Amino acid sequence: MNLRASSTRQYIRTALKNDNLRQAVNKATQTALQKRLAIVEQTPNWEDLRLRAHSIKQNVIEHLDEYLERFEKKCGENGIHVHWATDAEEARTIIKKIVRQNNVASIVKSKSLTTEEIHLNPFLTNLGVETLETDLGEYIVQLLDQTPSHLTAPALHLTRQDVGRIFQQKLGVDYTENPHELLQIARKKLRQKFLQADMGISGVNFAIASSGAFVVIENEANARLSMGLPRIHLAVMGIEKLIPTFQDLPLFLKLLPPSATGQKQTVYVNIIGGAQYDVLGEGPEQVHIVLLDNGRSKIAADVELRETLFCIRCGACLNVCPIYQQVGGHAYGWIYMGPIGATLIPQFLGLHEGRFAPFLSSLCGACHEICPMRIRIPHHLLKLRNQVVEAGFSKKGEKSVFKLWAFLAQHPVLYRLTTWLPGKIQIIYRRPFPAPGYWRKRALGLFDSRGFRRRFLDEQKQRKRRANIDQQHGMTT
Amino acid sequence: MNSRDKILSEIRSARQNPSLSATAFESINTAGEKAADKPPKNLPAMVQQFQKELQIVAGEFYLADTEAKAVDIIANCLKQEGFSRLMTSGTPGAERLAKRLNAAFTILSPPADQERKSYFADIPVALVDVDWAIAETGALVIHTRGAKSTFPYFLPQCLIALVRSSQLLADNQELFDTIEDKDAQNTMMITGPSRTADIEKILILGAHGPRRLLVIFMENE
Repeated sequence: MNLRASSTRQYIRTALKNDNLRQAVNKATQTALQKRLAIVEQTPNWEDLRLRAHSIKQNVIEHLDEYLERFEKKCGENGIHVHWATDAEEARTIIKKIVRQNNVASIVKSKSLTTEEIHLNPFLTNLGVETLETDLGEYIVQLLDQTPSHLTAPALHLTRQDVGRIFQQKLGVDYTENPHELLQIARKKLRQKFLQADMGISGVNFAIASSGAFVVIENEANARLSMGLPRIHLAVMGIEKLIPTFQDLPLFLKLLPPSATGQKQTVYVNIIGGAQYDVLGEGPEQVHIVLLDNGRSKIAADVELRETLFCIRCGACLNVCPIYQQVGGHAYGWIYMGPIGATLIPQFLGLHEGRFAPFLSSLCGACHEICPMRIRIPHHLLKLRNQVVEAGFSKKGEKSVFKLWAFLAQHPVLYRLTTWLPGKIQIIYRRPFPAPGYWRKRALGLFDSRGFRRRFLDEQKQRKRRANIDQQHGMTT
Repeated sequence: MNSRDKILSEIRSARQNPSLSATAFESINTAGEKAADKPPKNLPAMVQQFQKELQIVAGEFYLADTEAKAVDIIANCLKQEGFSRLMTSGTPGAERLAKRLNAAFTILSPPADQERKSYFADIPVALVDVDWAIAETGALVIHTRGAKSTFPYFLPQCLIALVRSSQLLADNQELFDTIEDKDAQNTMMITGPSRTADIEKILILGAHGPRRLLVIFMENE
């Protein structure tokens, strides 16, 4: 299934009609938020940790060339093969070459958004290489030919009944909706594949510049199995994933798991710094890493928007976002979704293709509050909205409304009249005004007969009166 | 220009513009926790914390003051689960304890040949040594390059790990401040049995790795 960011309006309409989806998303996001909060409350210096992590990432992005060169050199010393890919196509070509040179017939993959970004699965399948996702959620969405609907919980939009039916149809097993039994089915199917696979593919959570090693965190052990069993391991990594040293890793390990899944630490933290076959007689004989740019260096050129590269893909901003909670991940039309996705979509796919994304936000600021990297997401969304409008990709109707508003705002008498008149009309016509498009899905209220100016002044007066009363009673706010 | 140079030059030109909100990196970074500022180790408190954190993540904690007691705990677990075969990590501590087990159990050490993968694939339980344990998170840390085999740590349904009091560290910061980079770069940390919550956020233990993790904490070396 190929999603398109420019078709987001259509996806949203479908999503809004789907009550099951909304219930599933709500349940999952609320659970994650509660668990996160329990851990954050136990961490007294949480805000300091966010500040430190932000400044470390800032330093990395502003000296990215130096860190990348250092990482490449250290990887070389550790025997890791480093490949550079300017875009998705080049990354796929590199991977194809490695696959062909080593006669790879089957691949086990652990969850990686970066490989989704380069559409690796369909590419490898077309090459005739069996490519299986092994994270349970990813395995389920792969069977359905879908993409993940959440950064860390790929099958969040599906119920256990859905999964039971998918397994029955695609794997030919008896129907069950018992999650334990469903997991056992997947474990059994995939264990055999792990043992036979020629190559394991993973993403990278953090790469250590000073040491030439990379870190993959997970809970299921599927990443461990795909890194430890096949004879070749390949990791695809966005160039922004670097951190300076191992001594910085504990900080990021403290921030990521609580924000992502509400855990203090994930079950597995896998650190790979080269092939081990020569020493252990097991595990990969070759380790490859593909450093993917795919537009990241362009993002780094904008002094403000480069902050969006600090993202560690925890998904906390999705969980807390009122828009995401209503429409789910697929509505955004790309593999990065939610508030951070809304900033990445126009930057990666271009302003025209991604013209709707920055508007999928209420700008309430919850995403900034929760972001472990302190990325000012609402600020960046506004900047991108501005760019979309400047480029002439905004809706004409919307533009004329704002033009009209700007004109009125410059003419106080007219402004007063236009905000006063609708209220007066509705003293006689006591129904909401027709507003095509907007009207169908939303309840539109009646205008206040006082008009905006009068109402604003009245409320100010009331507030003052309340404050005076409070003062008389010795209450301070 | 090859892709490497293209990407690097693109980044170099992007670097010309310094961030508007530039924070003083050095000052914040060095203001972080330093190992030297920490109070001296309080081992009993650390053991208690380790136990608590391990149990939160559904791991089982057993204290053993003698090797005989540790052997009993292992034998009990094997009987309880109905396991007759046990694999070890091949490291000295695990090997020594496995040898003291009743002859009713078959003990398998990692073979040196290529068949290790299939040899170990169906063994339900493993007895392993670890290199460090972390009190703050309940994690076990294994230096994979120093191991005989990594398979026993993630292939079986049930993992029994031996931790010695000298291996207990306060937190991840102490771990990465203590160990050399070349050791850190091939490590695996395990915090509880493997798990998934991918179906309706329902937590199920034993995803692709162990569903049970027992830690035997050896008080005396």
